[in-house]
Amino acid sequence: MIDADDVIARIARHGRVESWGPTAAPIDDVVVCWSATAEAISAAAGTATLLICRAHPLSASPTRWDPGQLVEGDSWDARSAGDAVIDAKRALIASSGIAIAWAPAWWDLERSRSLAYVVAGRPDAPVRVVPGGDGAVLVDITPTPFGGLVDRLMTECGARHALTTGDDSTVATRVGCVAGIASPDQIAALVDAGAEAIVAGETVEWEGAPFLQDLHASGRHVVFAALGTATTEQLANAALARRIAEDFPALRVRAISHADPTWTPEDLG
Amino acid sequence: MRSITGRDVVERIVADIERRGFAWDAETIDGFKAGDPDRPVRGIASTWMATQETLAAAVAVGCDLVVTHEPTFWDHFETPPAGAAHPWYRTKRDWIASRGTTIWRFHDHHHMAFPRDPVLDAFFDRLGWLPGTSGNSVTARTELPPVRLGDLARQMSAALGTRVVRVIGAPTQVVSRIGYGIHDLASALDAARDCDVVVVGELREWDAFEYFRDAGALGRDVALIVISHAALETWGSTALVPWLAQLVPEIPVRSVLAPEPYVLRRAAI
Repeated sequence: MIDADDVIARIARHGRVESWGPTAAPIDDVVVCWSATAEAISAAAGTATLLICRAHPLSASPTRWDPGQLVEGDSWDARSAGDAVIDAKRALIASSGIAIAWAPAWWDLERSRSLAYVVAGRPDAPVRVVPGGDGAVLVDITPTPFGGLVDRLMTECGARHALTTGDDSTVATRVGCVAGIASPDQIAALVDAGAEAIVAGETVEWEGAPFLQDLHASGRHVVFAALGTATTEQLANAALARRIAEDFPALRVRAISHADPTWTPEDLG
Repeated sequence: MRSITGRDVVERIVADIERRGFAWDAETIDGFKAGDPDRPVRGIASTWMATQETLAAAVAVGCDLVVTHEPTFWDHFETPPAGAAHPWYRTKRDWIASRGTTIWRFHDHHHMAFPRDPVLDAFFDRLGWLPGTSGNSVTARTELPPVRLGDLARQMSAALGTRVVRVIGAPTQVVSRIGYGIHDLASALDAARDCDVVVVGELREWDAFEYFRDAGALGRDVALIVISHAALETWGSTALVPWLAQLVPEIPVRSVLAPEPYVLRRAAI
C-alpha cells in the first residue's frame, strides 16, 4: 500500500513541501493541479486522494518578488487570522479527508520547459536553459508573427487575456519562456541570449514593463506577452503527473487544469 | 538672477514638506537618480514613469528636470537588472546625460508627506469617487449607489481610459462598497473582509487571484478588479503640477503622461 507520505517524500527531494490532511493514510489517487481550489478539494473529498499543488492552498503570501524562491511573509498569520475565506478554506481542507501537498519547487522541474513546448508546438522541441536566467528557457520556432503566436498560445493555454508589449508584426524565431513571474533580470538574460520574443505568466509592471519599453526605445524591439501565472505554470501539470505515475505505477494519477477566472468589460459585450 | 538648479527645486520641496509638519525620512528611495542636480533647470516635468519615451517627451516640451514616481532603472531600489556595467544601463544613462536631463524620484514622500495621499486621491477624483470616499490611501472605503459589477468595471475602464481591467466575480453581482489594496494579497485582505469589491492597481496573480477565485465558492462574494499600476497612479503625477508650480514659479512645470505599457489582448472566440 502506498500512502501520501511516500509520494510526498519523493517530491520533497526537489524542495520544500508543506502538507495537510491524513498524509499517513493509504491513497489510490493523485491529482496534480496548480491550485488546490475549493472546487478541486470538494470534488476529491471523501476519496483516498493526494492533491499536489503549487499555489499555496491558504494563499500564504510571500513578501518578496523572488522567482523560483518563495519566502513567506512573517506577517501572514497575523494578517490572515479571522479571514472568512481563509478560515472557510481551512475548514474545507480539514473536512475533505484528503491529503494536500504544496510543492512549489517541484513545479520548477517542468515549469518553463512545458511552456516552451507549447510555444514551439512540439513536445520534443530542444529547450535551452539560459545562463543566469534563474530557470528561464529559450526555444527556437518557425518564423512567426508575434500577434499570431500570442493568439495561438492563448487558445492552447486557455488564457482569456494576455498583456502584451511590442508590435504584432514582429517575427519571432527565438522565444524566451518564463512560466509564472518574469523578473527584469530574467528578461535581461533572455534578451542577452537572443530572444526576440518573451512569453511569461506575469511581470512586475513598474520594473519589467518599463525595461521592455526602454529596450524598444533603444532599438531592441523585443516583444512580450504575459498570459497569466496560473495559465502558464499549470502547463507543467501533465509532465509532473507522468513523473508520479512512473514512480508509483499502482496509483491513478491525473492532472487537472483550472479555467482563467478573469473577465474584462469587453468580454461582456 | 541666479539660475535655479535641480537641487534648489528639491530643497524647496523638502522645505515645504517640513514646513507643513511632515518629516523628510532619510531612509527613502526618493532622490536624484540620474543627471546633474546642480545643472540649471529650464522646466520641470512630472510623470509616473521615466521611460526613455517619456523623457523624450519631456525634453520636447523644454523640461530638463523630471520628477518621476516610479524607478528610472527598472528596479524599485534602482539596482538595474544585469548590473550597472550592462550596456542597457549605460545606454539609458548616457541618453539622459546627452539631453542634459536630471531625474528626481518622488515616491515615498509623494504618498506620505501630505495630509491625504494625493496619488490615491487623484485616482478617486478621476473616477468621480472622492465625495463617496472616506479614509485615506489604501485604507479608504468608497460607498457608491448599488451597481452591477460588470457596469462598475465598464465605468472604470471608460473613466480611466484603459482596457486593462480584469475582474474576478460575477458580472451581475451588485456591489456598493469598494476597498483597495496595494500589489499583493496581504494588503487587500482588510478590504476583502468588509467590502463587496477590492480594487487594486497591479496585483500579484499567484496568491491573490486564487483567493478571490475561492471566495465565491466558499460563500464570500467579494469581487476583485485589477487595473494597471499606471491607471492607478498616473493621475497623481498630473495632480502634482500645481503644487510644484507654486513652489517653483520661475520656470514652467508640466505634466508628461507615461503611456500605459500593456495592450490587453482578448482570446479569439
